[in-house]
Amino acid sequence: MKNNGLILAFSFAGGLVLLFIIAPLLGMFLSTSGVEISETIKDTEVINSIWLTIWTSMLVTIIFALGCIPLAYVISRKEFFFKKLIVGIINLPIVIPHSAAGIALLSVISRNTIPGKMAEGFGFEFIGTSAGIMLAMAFVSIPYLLTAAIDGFNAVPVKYEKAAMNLGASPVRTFFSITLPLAWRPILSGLIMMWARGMSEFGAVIIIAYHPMTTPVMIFERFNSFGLQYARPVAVLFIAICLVFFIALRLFSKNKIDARN
Amino acid sequence: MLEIRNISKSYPNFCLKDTSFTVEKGDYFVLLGCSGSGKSMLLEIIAGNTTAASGKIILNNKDITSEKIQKRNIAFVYQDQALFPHLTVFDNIAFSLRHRKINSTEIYSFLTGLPKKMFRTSYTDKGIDSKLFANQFRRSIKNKVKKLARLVEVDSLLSRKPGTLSGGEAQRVALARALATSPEYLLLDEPLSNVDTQLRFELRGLLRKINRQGQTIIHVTHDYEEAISLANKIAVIEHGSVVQTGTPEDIFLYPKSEFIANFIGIKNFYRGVLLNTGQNSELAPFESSGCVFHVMTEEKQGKGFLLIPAENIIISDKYNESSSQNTFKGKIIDTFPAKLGIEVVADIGVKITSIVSKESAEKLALEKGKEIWISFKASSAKYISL
Repeated sequence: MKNNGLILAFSFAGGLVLLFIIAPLLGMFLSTSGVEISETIKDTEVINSIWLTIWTSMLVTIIFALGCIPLAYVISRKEFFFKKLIVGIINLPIVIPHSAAGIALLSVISRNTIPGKMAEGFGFEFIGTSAGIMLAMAFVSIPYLLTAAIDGFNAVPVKYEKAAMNLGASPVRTFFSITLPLAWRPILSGLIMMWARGMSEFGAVIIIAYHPMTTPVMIFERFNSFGLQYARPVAVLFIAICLVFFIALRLFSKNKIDARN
Repeated sequence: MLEIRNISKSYPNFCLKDTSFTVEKGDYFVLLGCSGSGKSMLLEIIAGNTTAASGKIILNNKDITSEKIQKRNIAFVYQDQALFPHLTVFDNIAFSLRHRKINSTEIYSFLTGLPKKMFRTSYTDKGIDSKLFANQFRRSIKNKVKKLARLVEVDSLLSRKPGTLSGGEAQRVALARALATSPEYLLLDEPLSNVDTQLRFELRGLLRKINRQGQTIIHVTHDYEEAISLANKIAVIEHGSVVQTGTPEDIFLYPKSEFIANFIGIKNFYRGVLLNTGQNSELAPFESSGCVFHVMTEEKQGKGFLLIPAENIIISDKYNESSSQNTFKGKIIDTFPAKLGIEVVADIGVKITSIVSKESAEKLALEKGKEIWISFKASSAKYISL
């Protein structure tokens, strides 16, 4: 019984942290009436914005995963010059303020720059478009996927890959039948994190594209123009939808055997 | 035939230097050496998991030194098995069968049972039902997996995941998975090191069975008993070089260097037959070159080796009644100083070596030509079955 003291103290400290996270969210939900929510659901501007936020963040996660997962594999398996520097650069977007990240991105893709002009030549426009929103989301959320995928691949012993090749499998088949399934759980976690981070991005997105309006931008705009009461129902609805997706994906990714167990 | 020619490779802790040996088809070849001698590294080089700095690997007169891993037709069983944790036992064994590249001629030949060269075009051109083929192919994989599982006695574990298997079971599955590739050479890296004594005994039997079915095996170990029990050829490896190659008798009776002699540490080593006593007794006669010893063993009758540590052999100048089951009259043929005491080699029908203290040698006046009595207890001799 004596040993329970420490656990009790830790539980109390942890409980305070949990309360700190839960209280504002709960407060927001409780202070929003059902009427407000149902009116917000009927507001096409809000629904379009939520839909835009969800599909852009999902699509950008899928597109960039095609590059991030192979890059993570190379970083995990190969030793090369400046490897540590590259891993540091990958994590840079987490450290810098997101509005600054938006400015940095803007200086590369605006109409006056070479990439901007090239994109324009192909009929692409980034500023004030969903493509621009996706780039802004990607810039700040890629580190979550890359870091998780590198950790995932690091946890798969090279021995399994060698064993697969000893058994006649080509490197491509080895990757898809052994390495990727064994690293899948952390990668899926990274994908969910990248998607969630992209969806909630405000700072970089508002610099690149004020319109079309993603939900975080819309919440800011309503708060600025009309006050808390108009911003809150949008926030509640958005959080509720995000939670449903988030919980569903977490459940989906449970109970798979990977390299760690 | 697999020839290893002058393989060298350096690592911070050890290196392989100019290593050469040859493994004939059907051999059970054991690479024997202490840990850190480079024997596992050598196996990885043969499998293609890593490349040698210099030297050549020749398989059936073809240089495979820089051949891709997948194309070597050499299977490798890792010390810790490396079973794929996310696949069931069935899928682990079936892995190589599913991941083999199959071309249309193979498919056609498989379906019709006719030789491959008869078919040049794809099976769809010949009007073969691809669905039917897919079903038959799946069935053939299932049959092969079941056959292999029966061979290694894991047929009841096919739906289990590797994480739930015991060390011995995992080793059997790893063997079946490697055998599924129908390899020309099967490489085993310390396959019996992670299992307990009883299982080790059973696995030795299994490895012998696989070898007798024609599978060439190269087996790496630091355990001389394992080498004696399994090998028909042994290469002793020391500090990254092969110091002696030969049959178990060559290695144990005529060690070429002090290292081998010390490493093996066995002076009295006899190949022979364990006879049936006809009684339910632990004491069994063992016959070698006309000389019959008595040993304590639970093994059944059959061929094997008898090892008698030289320190356990007692020399006396007259017959003494004692608990010893083995007493022989013999003549000293040689004496020489050992690291500790004096080594006395006597002829009792076969050569036998005893180590005695200097004081005892002087007291009994042990010298060449003297007639003596040799005795040792049945429990001090070790029988290793083949």
